[in-house]
Amino acid sequence: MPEFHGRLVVLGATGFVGSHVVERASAAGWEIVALSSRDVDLADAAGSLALAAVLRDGDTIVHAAAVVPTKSAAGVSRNLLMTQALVDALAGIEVAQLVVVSSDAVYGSESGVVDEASACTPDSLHGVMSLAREMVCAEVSTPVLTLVRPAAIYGFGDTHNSYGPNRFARQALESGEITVFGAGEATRDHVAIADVADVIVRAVATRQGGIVNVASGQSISFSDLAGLVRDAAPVGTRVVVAGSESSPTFRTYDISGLARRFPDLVATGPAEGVQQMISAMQGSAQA
Amino acid sequence: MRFAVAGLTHLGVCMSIAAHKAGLDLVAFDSDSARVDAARRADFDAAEPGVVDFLRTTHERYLVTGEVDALADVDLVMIAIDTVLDEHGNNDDHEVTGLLEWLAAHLAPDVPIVIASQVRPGFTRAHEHLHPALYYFMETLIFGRGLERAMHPERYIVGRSSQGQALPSALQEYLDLPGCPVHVMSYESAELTKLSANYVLSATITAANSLADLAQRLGADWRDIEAALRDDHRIGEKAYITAGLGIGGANVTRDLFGIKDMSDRLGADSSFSASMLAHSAYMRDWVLRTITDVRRGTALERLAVLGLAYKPGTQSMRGGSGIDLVGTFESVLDVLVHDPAVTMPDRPDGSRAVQVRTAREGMEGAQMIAITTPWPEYRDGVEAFLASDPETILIDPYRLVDRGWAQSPRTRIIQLGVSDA
Repeated sequence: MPEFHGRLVVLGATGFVGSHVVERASAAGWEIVALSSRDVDLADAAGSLALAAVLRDGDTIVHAAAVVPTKSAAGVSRNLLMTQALVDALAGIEVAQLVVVSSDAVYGSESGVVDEASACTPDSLHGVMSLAREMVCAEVSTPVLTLVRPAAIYGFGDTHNSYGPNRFARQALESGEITVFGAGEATRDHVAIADVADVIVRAVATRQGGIVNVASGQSISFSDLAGLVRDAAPVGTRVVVAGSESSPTFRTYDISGLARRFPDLVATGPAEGVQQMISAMQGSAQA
Repeated sequence: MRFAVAGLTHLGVCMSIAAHKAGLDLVAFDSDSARVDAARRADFDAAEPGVVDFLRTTHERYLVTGEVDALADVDLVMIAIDTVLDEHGNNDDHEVTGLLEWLAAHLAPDVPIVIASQVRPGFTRAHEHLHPALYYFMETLIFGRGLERAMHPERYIVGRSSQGQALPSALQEYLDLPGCPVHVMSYESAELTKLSANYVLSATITAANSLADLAQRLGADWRDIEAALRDDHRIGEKAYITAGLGIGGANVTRDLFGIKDMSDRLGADSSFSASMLAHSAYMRDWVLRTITDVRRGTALERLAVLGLAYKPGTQSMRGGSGIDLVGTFESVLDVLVHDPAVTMPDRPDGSRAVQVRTAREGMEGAQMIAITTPWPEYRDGVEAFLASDPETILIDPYRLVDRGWAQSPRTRIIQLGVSDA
């Protein structure tokens, strides 16, 4: 476990990413201040003052507070206001590092290989919001600003139900039937939540700034992904095809930048990650 | 004719020796006394065949000097200082400007000054007010083949101020020496020709590299395709289509940046330059990406890195993938490094990288072996090692190794441009 001396403040501590960061950092014995919207509501007019009262010089902040996915102008505004509240709270406080949990949506959704040098060309409200949120955070005076851009995250505890590993796993365990749209040819990089939390904790421990894409480095088609889920799920689980796939896009991540930053990190591949997720879901169902 | 070469770096030394061998009375000049001393001591990159041997001996009509008086009766002066890359890949022409100003102040106005240093297009025009007889000369030297190329040029390309302007007789005499074609054009055309050559080569290299990457993923073999393409007369047997780890050589990259910058300034679309640069960076990471990928299934404790030089025959590591791998993994893995010519620089505290004396010593017990410089001598060593049927993954981007050397599936060979399945 990486060593860290100081105080780690996690905003959005009960969210999918935030909770895993807290868990990972706690396991390492770090001093953590875990804040959720119940503790400090950044969307509230008084949120900024409330947060400022908690923060101290020298704190390290992981900004994982967001309402996602963003599908409306209201959602964009809300996320930006929450982030502005953080920036306002940090006026006059010298934080050691600010880690912004952002999204690969800043790169848009066109086919191609993505790395840290790829241009930001968001083509969704979520992407535009994520990029704007990063830019708002760039106003914070800190020696280390880390912009973490994970690919599509999956794993046990994900509350979202978007098309991908989580939905497939839920379908497999609930109905024994995984639904794939059309040929399911589109490829995506799905990154395990444990790896995202691991990278954030390492980026803090080693004070690494700049853009950090987090991905598995192994893109997979939705059709193959459904096959992996089926193989990890109880015998008898089936993959069924419904509807059609609208012009598929193919996305791959070049994770050599991640390997260079964290040379002992071995990203979880989809087969292993899907198995772990399904085991965790089955364990939780039995408990 | 008395010919002076000013600037005793790689280009200047090669040009001066070639001109001397062609029979000219030669003044090898530099205003920097350290470089004059280095030339006198024959302190020069040993990987440039013929240069050190030449400098070690005294030659009649070849004067190495820092004295301005030696330039008093020269007929022609060539500025041949190597330009330095800045952090953005742009060349720094301050030294060329300084030398030009200095020479212009010391030479008679009718003594032609020829700029052979690489400069940004527009440079010669912007400085023509400094000297009435100013010319641009495009050099095409290659590190490791500098002297050979200087002695046997394919063609000469010269830039002059205006069309129809006759070349001075001393310059004409110099250009006629090797008997190669001479292209005389405007400053701008000659300067851009230099960058254009590297740009077109880069386009070919990038095409080959991107297709090799695709071939590997598709299950095809780029070598077979490459051989077939060479028989296509439009492509040609000498085409730069052997796949490799990006566009090699800082000079070529510099020219791509140069074209991109110029295009941007003048409003021409520069996306192709940007694409080639981005693809080169992507190919440079091929070894790292391969290691990252195969590591998922292999516990990696010990990595052998064979080769630090950025290409065989040089002691330079610049941009080489070997030293990059060492820097990436030395804090977490035992990294055994070998190079027949390069001594590994001192490593930071906590580094687990050590240089070994033989490639065999590095390979023994390594779960992965990366051949990062295709030194020809590695072939025999690797073949002998693979005969022992080691359980290892050999990463061979340059395809130095014959896949048939693997005795069993215990040895996995991963090469650029071919599927290993």
